[in-house]
Amino acid sequence: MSRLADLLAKLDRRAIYAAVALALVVPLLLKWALPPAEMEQARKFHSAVEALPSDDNGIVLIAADWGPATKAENEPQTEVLIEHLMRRRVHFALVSVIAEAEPFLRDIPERVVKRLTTEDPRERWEYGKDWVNLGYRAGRSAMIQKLAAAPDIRQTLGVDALGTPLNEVPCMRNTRNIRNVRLLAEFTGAVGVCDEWLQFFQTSAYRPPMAHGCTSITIPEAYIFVDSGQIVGLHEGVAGAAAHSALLKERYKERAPDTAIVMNTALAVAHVAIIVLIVLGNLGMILAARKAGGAPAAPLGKEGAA
Amino acid sequence: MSAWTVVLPIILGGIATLAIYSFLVKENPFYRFFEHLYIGIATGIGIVFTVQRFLWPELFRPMLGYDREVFADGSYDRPWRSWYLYYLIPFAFGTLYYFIYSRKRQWLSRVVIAWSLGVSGGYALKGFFAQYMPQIIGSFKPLVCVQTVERSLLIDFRDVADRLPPDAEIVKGRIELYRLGPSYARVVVKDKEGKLSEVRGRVTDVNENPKDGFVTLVVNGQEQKIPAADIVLREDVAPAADVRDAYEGHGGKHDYLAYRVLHPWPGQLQAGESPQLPVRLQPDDVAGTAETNTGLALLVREDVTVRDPYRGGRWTVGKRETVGVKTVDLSLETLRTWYDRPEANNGVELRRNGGAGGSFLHRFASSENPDTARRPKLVIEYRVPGEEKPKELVLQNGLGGYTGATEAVIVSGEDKPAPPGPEFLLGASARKADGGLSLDFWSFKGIVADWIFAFTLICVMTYFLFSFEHDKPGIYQASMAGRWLMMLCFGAFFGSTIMARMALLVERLQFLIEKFIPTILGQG
Repeated sequence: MSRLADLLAKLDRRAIYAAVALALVVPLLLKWALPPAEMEQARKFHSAVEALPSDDNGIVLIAADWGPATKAENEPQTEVLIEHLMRRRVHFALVSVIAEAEPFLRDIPERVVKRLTTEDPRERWEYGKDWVNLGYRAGRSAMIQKLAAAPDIRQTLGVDALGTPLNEVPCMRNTRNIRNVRLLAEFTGAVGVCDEWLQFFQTSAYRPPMAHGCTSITIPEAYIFVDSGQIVGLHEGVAGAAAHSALLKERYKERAPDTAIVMNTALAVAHVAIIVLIVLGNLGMILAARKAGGAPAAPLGKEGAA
Repeated sequence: MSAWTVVLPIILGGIATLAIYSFLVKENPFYRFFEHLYIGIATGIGIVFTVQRFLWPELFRPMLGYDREVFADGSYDRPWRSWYLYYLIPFAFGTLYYFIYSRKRQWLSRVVIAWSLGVSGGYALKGFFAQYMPQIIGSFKPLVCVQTVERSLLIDFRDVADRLPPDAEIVKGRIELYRLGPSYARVVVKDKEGKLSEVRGRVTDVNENPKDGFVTLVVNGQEQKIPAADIVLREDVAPAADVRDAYEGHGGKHDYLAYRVLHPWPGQLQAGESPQLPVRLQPDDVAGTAETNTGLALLVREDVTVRDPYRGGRWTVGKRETVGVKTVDLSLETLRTWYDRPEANNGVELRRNGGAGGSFLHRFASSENPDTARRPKLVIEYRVPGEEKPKELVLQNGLGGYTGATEAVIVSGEDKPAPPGPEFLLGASARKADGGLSLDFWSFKGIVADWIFAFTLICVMTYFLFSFEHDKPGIYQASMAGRWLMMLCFGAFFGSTIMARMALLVERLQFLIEKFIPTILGQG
């Protein structure tokens, strides 16, 4: 017992990092895909997309306000939504108020198209007909307000990310103003960006339903918007994306596991590893205290932390 | 694109990732170099994008007239607009910010800062109401809440595609449902002297109080509280005497007996039945419960395994519907999907249009109704190539050997097979799948959650309110509880933080495993 106490007390923190890294690497190497937990908010997000009509009279606006810093969580969320919209043939437009998002706005839809056409070579999705990339737009809240108030979004934004006039983009043919935005899906890990869309992307007469994808660290903040009914669905980090992905798998049986599911499995294993390490750490503390003949550190109490 | 333009970013990305994570071993120059490199790149990208995506296309290009098309003869598609030069005014005003570095003229930068703060304040004020008012309203939570059991019906027509010719062109389609009359009840009441009296009329509400096992029937606006065991359901109308006989037969143990009549329309009334009943069967019969009866909606279910049904394609059956056939048109998209992908045919769902609390009981003839003509019917009009006149496919149990129509009950989001019987009931307080009466009950989950919310709010506010001493009895405990509750919340935040950090590591490891290492090994 005493030896175990010593071992745990002297355990190098780098050994803990190595244990966590190992716990993450093994599922990734094995491409292990465990079914994710059912998540209420992801299911609502899925239902909101399911409820969208697939016609030419409106679009889903995807605000992919993230960059490399939160790519790990926001990318699978954006990807699973794009896949869902493409499968349902709902037109969408990608936009971002974060400059670093630019390459992802271009790459993700193309990657999804590649995956879907591999699954069913008879199906086709084309840029312009099925989606449009509006690119990075500077100005944050000012830009969002301008977009909301625009009598004709196509005139206001002018061209897409490739320089094509929006009037000539087929999927924007009948999209004139905010009323044609059937769903606003906002993905971000940046502070305040979701708030800005929530505050300013509306007119006195219309506010499109909004769904949100956040990083794990901002889940507690995002739940405020869930409780108040300001968002219709939420992707809670990678887990939310994986839950949405699992719902797609239920419907499209031939669908291969995507990044979100594999990442979520690795995360679950790492969480188990961390819990085990926490238990071991506490065990070490108790054993060390016993060995020293005293009690473990006092919990917070009257004399505890301020 | 050359191989190096693909390979080089992967190798650099891998080296940079390893450099950043080398911090876990210890602080080192390798890590510090790449950290500074990242910050530099991020700033550089920001500047380039601002110039490329905003300053040049939105400001300088139109101002210099470069946004005009040039024709072959050198002329432009439109004249240069000099008013674009007004852009220089806010541009020049903004550059005053740089006077922040001048000791003498620093006040000029303050004008710009004041302007910016004013604009931000205006935005904040506008945004405040849009963002926070729904949250403030949402935080007023009821400390006593009642949950309603919703019961909706899933009507499924199988083999639709098989019964249509392979080259059919669908023109239109509809579902026909037979709405039965409202539920009626008779309640025999024994007063203190042992005298029997009877209340009869339309049931507008059925509520069960699980505390004491009593069912409350609201009959003609009068509340009748009856032990749940004494509710008797009948398929037909019986003479008034039967009710009294049933009461006596029941042993007269209780003071009340409810006798629920399920088919009280004129044609089925028995001799001796009260003439009051047919009088009440008027088209506006449902109107009396307008505050809770919010109509019905028919939804297309695309996937029954998803608990929250597809909410698109909603057709309101009607708020004040009469007895008889109700026709609901189906969209062409739905019908074509059923035809092209039979596995996607999961039927349609009939549900109440929202609202809360007790509701009128809507009754529809089921696929097992003895009267075949009243069973749910699917009618599809289609064309066959070479034939001008459209044909009609009619699917109804008992018609042409078809038996593919089924109903299922969805109670609180769970699908269950419908109980066998001639009819199905739906609404917010309808009969449950097991035959018992559905109910409005205390939502203990809701009550507990809302009380925890209120308790936490008071305790945390007490902890942060320093206008009075915290050592008084009650105040001290509340303040301590507030601190502990906050620690619990911080624990949850911390868990989320761990998950975020782990996700970043997973993504980087994925990159190293799937791209960097194979590239280094020459397998990429």
